[in-house]
Amino acid sequence: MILYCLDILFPAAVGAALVFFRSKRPGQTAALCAGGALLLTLICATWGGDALAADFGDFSLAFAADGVSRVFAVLVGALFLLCIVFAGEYAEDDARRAKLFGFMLLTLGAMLGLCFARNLFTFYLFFEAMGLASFPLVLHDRAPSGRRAAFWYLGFSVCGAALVLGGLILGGAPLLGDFRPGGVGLAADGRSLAAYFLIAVGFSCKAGMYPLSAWLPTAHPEAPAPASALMSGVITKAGILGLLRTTYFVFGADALRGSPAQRALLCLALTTVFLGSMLAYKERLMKKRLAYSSVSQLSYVIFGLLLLSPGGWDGALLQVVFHASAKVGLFLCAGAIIHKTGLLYVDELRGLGRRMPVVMCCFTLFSLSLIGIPPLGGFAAKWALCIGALDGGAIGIAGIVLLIVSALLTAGYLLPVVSVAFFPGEVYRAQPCEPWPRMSLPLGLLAGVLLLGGLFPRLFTAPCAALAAKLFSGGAL
Amino acid sequence: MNLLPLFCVLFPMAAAPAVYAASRRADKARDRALWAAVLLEWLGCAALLSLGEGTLTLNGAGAFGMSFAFGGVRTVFAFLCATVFVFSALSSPFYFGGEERVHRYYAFFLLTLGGIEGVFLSADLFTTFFFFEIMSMASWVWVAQNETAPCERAANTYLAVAVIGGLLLLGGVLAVYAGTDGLLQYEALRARQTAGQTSPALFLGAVLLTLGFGAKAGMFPLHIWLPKAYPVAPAPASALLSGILTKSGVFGILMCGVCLIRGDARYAMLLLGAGVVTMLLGALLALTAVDLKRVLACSSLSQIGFILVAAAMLALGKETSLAAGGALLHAVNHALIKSVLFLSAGVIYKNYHTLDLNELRGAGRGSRLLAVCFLTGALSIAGVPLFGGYVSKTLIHEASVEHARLLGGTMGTLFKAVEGLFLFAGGLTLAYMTKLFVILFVQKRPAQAKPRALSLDRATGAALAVPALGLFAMGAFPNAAYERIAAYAAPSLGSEPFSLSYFSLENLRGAMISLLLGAAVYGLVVRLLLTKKGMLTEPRHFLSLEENVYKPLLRALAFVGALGARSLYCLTEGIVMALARLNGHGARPRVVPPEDDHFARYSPQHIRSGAISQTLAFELMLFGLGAVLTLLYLLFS
Repeated sequence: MILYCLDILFPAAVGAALVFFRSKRPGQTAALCAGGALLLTLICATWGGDALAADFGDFSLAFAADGVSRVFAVLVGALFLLCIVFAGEYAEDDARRAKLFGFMLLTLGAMLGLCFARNLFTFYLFFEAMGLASFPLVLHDRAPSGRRAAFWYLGFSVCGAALVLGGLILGGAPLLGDFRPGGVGLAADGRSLAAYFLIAVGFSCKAGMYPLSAWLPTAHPEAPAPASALMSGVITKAGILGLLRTTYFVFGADALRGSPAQRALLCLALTTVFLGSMLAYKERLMKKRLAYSSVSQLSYVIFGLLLLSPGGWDGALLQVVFHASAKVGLFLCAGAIIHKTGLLYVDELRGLGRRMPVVMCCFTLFSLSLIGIPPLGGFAAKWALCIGALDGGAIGIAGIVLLIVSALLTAGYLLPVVSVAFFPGEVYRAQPCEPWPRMSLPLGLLAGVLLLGGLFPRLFTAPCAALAAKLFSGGAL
Repeated sequence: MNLLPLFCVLFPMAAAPAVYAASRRADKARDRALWAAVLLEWLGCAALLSLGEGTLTLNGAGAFGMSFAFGGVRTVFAFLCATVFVFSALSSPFYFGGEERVHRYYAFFLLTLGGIEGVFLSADLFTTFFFFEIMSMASWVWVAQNETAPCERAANTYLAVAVIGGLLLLGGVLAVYAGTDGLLQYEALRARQTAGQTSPALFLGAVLLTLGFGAKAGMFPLHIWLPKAYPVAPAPASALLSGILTKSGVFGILMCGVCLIRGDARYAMLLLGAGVVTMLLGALLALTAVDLKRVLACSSLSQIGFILVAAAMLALGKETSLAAGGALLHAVNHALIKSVLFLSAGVIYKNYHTLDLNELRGAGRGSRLLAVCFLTGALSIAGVPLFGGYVSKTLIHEASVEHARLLGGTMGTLFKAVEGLFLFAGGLTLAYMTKLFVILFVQKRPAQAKPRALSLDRATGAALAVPALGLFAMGAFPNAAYERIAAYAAPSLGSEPFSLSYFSLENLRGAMISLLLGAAVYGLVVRLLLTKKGMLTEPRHFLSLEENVYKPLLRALAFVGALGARSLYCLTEGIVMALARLNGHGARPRVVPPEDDHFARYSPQHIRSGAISQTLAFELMLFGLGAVLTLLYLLFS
């Protein structure tokens, strides 16, 4: 019990302190705190066990560390640490950097809470807290466009959360019991399906699934680069985790298989896959292009989850890990470019490979991973998703085709950047402007993770390996 | 368990960063490091030759598990690849001289080497795909290395074809996976196939795989990158692109035909069609080109066409020994020949800094070694008896004659036609190689240009002489050399060893017809039609597949896709906008007043009572609308 509280409250408290009090070295404090949080997370993931914090009759605040929460919590903790280290240099000259770090840490606390949540009530609480804590990140730069973006962010956040709440009210008390692999045993009637659909759409809103996706490409690029990396790569995964928990641990894959809700969600996810890639292909602003790309890539995960088969589950988890690493990496690269050169548009990046070789090499690796080219992690995820989709009937085949089309578009919007950056022409001359190790180290680590992930992908989802058998006991296995 | 194949695949990749680091420092260290790495790799592959057959399975690796195998056709290709890489590496220091960014080329040279070895030594489709993509991406740098404007265009085309080819390949692998319930090992697939019967999934898989591999091999209609990329890449890289990279595609197509879909006539006919078109198209393009390396590049297309014709006959599964031998041996010959020819072109380019044949009149006269090596390569590729190419071309020719005889009826006529076209394309080969040789080595330098001795270092000389000597020696004693290679590889291609008397009158007749045709074409077309006032001219290309078909098509598709995506996207955004307009009378909702320094804290004096209710009402409305819509859907679906 005490472990979980410590893990959640420690970053949150430090974050709150950074927001409200003056601090001499907010960057170092935040980095140390995030490091401590990662350590605590590891401890929780290993020795946490079940814990009940408070019981309110129908509701209870409870934590547990199962396979899924281990994978997600460690991923969240590690990526936050990297982004905060990166932000230490990125936000050096920012007078309000303490607030940036403060809200990042607050968000970290909330996210760790929802990773370890043991029931939907706890999850929902932290989900809301996370939405609110991350909202100021969008406003941080205080550009006029940022205000509108923040409004969209908040509006859609509340809307999504309200849908979830509506679903919870519709479904009633049985939904709030402890998560159980394979579902808590609800009857698959119209009412519970409607509740499921509402909750699923509400959570997917956070992951940018069409039709509630308009906020994501608007809001994410507005935040400072390390924060937008977190939003796009990590915070969106909270929506994914919510969907995963509701689907597999509350309603159960067997109860949902073949239902209209599953079909509708699959169609929406596939629409989003195409939509995001296509819009990213047409977008010129680097960070916005990456945000559109997130819309598309996150719907790969939703597609995999909603296949409700062991293959889809496997692919979705891999995609969660490797998309998070690649997308955080890409945003950090964009941040390094902005920090060092101030370039925002993709067609201005000619010759950048000569000026910042390490950053652009990492950028290339992240891009290849996002497209799904071996030997990087993204390929393993895409392969597993496709294999999972092969059993999915007509919609599965459509999914494979769309995944391949989307990969082509992904190549179309990322590789030209790499091409002009590294092959600017014989006569190109420019001063190198490689950033400091505090920026390039996180990039290098992420690239290493993706390389390792391409060679041994199951290493990263190993804690979930035992779960798969329980999740599909009745059906597909 | 033998780890040698793993070494052959991973060692060059591991050496790449080391060579990169070493070569940033000094020129000497750079070349030594490269040579050491390539030599070690060559020794590894040579050791594979002595091992016989074997497999190596790594269950945990990759998303699917990887497996490697050696022996037969795999070892032949792996060894051939290492050998040609050695030649290319030997001539690299001479070619690059003191150029900038050579270290980049060297690193990707080794990375690609590892990727290709991975393709050749893979035992299942997943592993093949895995390394194929690595190779494909790493060799992109070769094409773009020089960073000129044509280079950039060629590199973009290369990249586009590589990515699209890779995705086709992935689609093919998935289709095979679906059609066989998760079986991807070549041996298992081969054991599983039943003659003449292929499921639709498997057929689709084979077609997609062939397109994907064919994109790399230069098969029509995905050959567009090839004539663009070879001329702009550095010569040592062109030698490899043409000699080895295309062979990885050929290897894939051979495996497809042997293990996946042997005996399926539809597939064989499709492949045969693509092969014949590639063979003729390449030869005609080579005949008309006036750029030295472009002639060689188009010639590669044509020779790949020959190999594909043989592969199609192998896939047909009627009479496989000659076809298998022809495909394999022509691949081996072509790799060696193109190594000689492209490296020679590199020497000439290094001395004259141009590739335009009209400016290169008599350019090769300064070096006897170069002339002899080039001549050997030219005679060999043209299929002149006593040289290597003759043997493999004879085998493919005999195979087509055999098929015409065996099949009879329409199919027989078809193969008769193929035989005729084959001889004609062989004649064209002689014609364009004669064109090159006459211009480079026979004609006199123009009076104003000073004659001079060609500079050429010892390592490059060796890289030219050794394969040329090999081609001559093996061509002179085909039964001892070529037939042994074919016999070694035969089991892995599902065929039998064979023996032919190559210098019998019957077999020489085909070559003679072909050579006579070639001489006629040279005399009539090249000398009379294409040469004006002593200058070669290139007829205008009125149709370019890339410019007139693919690019407009892709642009149109992207336009339609973007239109659809934007309309869909605007639908939601529009609703939100309309609601906001309706609700807030067009006023911008304010979350934070502009002058507030403490963001995310509302300062009371700025908040109008309307502002909060506006946003709240808007959110509630959004929520309500969403809830009603979903409920309606779920109730009535």
